[in-house]
Amino acid sequence: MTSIKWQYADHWRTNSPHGPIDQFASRHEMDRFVKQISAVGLTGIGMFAWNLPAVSAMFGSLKNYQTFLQERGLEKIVDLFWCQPQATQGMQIHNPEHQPRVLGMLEHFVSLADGLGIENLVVMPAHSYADTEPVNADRIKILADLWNNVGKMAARHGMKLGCHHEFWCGLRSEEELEQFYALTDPDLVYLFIDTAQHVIAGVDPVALYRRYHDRVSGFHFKDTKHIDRAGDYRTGPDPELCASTTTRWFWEMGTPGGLVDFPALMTALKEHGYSGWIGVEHDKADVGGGNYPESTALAMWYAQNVLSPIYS
Amino acid sequence: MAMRWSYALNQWNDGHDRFVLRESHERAFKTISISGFDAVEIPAGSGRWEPLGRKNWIEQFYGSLDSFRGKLNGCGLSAVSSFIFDPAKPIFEDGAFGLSVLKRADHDRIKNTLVQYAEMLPQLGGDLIVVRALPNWSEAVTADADTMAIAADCWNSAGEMAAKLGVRLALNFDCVTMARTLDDIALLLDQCDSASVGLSIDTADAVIMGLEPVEMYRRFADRVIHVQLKNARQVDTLNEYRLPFPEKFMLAGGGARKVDRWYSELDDSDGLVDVTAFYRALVDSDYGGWVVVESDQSPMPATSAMLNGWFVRQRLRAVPNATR
Repeated sequence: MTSIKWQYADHWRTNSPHGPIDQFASRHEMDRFVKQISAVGLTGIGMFAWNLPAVSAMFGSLKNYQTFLQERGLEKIVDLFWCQPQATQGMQIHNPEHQPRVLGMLEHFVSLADGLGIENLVVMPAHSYADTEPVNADRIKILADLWNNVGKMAARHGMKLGCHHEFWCGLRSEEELEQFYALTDPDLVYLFIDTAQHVIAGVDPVALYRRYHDRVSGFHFKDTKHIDRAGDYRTGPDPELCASTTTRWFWEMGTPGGLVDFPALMTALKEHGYSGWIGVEHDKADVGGGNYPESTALAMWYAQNVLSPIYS
Repeated sequence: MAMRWSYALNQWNDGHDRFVLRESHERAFKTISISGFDAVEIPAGSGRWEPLGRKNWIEQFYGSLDSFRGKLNGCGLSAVSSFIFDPAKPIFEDGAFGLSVLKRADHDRIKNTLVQYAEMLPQLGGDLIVVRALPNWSEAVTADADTMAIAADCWNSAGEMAAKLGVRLALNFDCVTMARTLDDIALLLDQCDSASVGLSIDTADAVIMGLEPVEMYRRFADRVIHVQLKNARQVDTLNEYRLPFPEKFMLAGGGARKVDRWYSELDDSDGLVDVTAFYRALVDSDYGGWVVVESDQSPMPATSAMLNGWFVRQRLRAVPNATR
C-alpha cells in the first residue's frame, strides 16, 4: 500500500510548426501531454482553475475529460489553482469590500468541478508583495478572514483550501506565515508547500513542514539554485521573469546545484505519516533552452529512484 | 527467453556536436529509464565528438567500460543492448571513408573494426551488433546471388569473429538500401550462417520502402534476432532511394515532396505501421530478443521516448495474452 501519489501541475509548453503551444490548443496536444506524464508515473493532474472552461469545451464536459484522463492511465484532476498576482482598482484581495468578489469567483470555479473528486483548491493568498504592501498585522488579519471564509466554502464542495506562498507573494517570510496561520482556522485553511518558492524566500521547507505538518494539504516539488538575497521579490511586474539576479528560478528535482533538500523532506513526510498527493511542477522549464518533457522525465526519475525508496 | 526493451540513442545524437557531454548522456539515460526501457542501443561513431561511438572514446570519457556501465546502471538501465554500425560512414581512426561489403578488399577492415564492439558488448550486458547489411542502391550494382555472396562472405567472417565472443550480427536493411524486396533480403540472408548472423527488422523503414512488416517478420521469423520498432508517415512512392546521398536528400531533406519527417512515434494516428499487429506477431511466435524502440528525426527526444514508453506499457503490453 503506497501513501504517496504523484501528480503534475499544469505548466507545459512545447514547440509546434507554428511556434510554442500548450496542451489546451487541441485534443491532439492534450492527448500527447497526458500520455507523456502518464508514461513517467504521474497519476493525477493539477489545473489552473481558469482552464476548466476550455477543457470542458474541448471534451463536452469535465466528466468526459476525466474519462479521457483515465483511459490514458491517470486518475483525476487533483488540484485547482488560482491567483491574482496584481492588485487592480476592481480587485484587491486585501480590501474587505472586494472579498465577496473573490469568494464568488472561487465558488464559481469550485462549482464547475463538483462531482469530480477534486481534493484541493490552491490559492496564492495575497497579491505580489509590492502590491500588498504595507504588509502589517491589520492587512494579514484581513487576508486571514478572507481565506477562512473561502475555506468554509471550499469545504462545502468537498475541497481543502491550501495556501501557496510564492517567494514574491504578500505573505512570504517566516514571520508573515506565522501570523497568517495563527489567525486562520486549522480546519479550513491549509498550507500548500512549494519547495522552491519557500527556499527562494529564505524559508526552509523541511522545517516549515515539520512545524505545520498537520495543516499541510499538498506540495509542489520543484527545485531552485537561488535564494533571493537582493530583494528581487519586489521586482515588478513579475519577479519570476524580471529579477535582477537570475533569468531562471525554477528547476526540476535532482538538478545539479539544487538547494531543496528533498530527501530530508521525504524523511519528514515519512516521520509524520503524510498520505496523499505530491505535485511535480515545472514553472518556466523552457527558459534558457530547457524543455518541459525532459524536465518532467528527469523529475520523475528522481522521484522514483531517490525519493520513493525513502518513503512511498 | 523474454522479450527485452531497449531504446535507440540515435535520436539524441542528431549532429556531431549535439550529444557529447556526460550530462547530456545522463539526461537521456534517465529519460529512457523512467519511460520504461531497460537498455540503450548506441550508434557506432568516430571522432572526439562521438564519445560513445568507439571503445577508446568510451574509456577516455568514462575512465573504463566498467565505469560507463556503472553510469548506465546508476541511471536505471541494465545494459547496452547493441551497437549499430554502417561500414560506409567515416571511421577517422582507421582512415576509412566509405568501406563496402561489396569490396572484398574491405572485408578484413570491416571485421577488424567490429572486433572492439564484439569485445565491449558482453561487458556492457549486450549481445548484438546491428550492421547496415548493404550499401545504398546503385544503378551499377545488381542485387543478385553473386553480389550477395560477396556481402555474405564479409558478414560470415565478422559473424564468426563475434560469435567467439558471444555476440551475433543482425543484418539491417533500411529504406534506402540496395535490397528492395523480401527476395533480395533472402538472397543475402540465406547465404549467411544462421548461428552467427541473423536479421534485424525495422518496421518503419520496411513500410517506407513498400514492404509489410508483419509479412516480413513471418517470412523470416526464424532468423529475426533484433527489431527496431518505430512508425512511418510516408511511403517512398517516388523511388527517391535512387537519389544520390538519399539519407540526405530524401530522408533529411524530404525529397521532392518536402516530407517534414518520415518517421514518427508508435502511437501516431497518421502512422502507417500497424505496431500492435507487429507486436502480436512477435508474441505469437514467442520472439525472445531485443526490441529497440526508435524515433529517428524526433524534434523532441524526451517527448518521443515518453510517448513511446506510454504506448509500450499501456497498449502493447496490455494486449490480451501479450503481457511480456
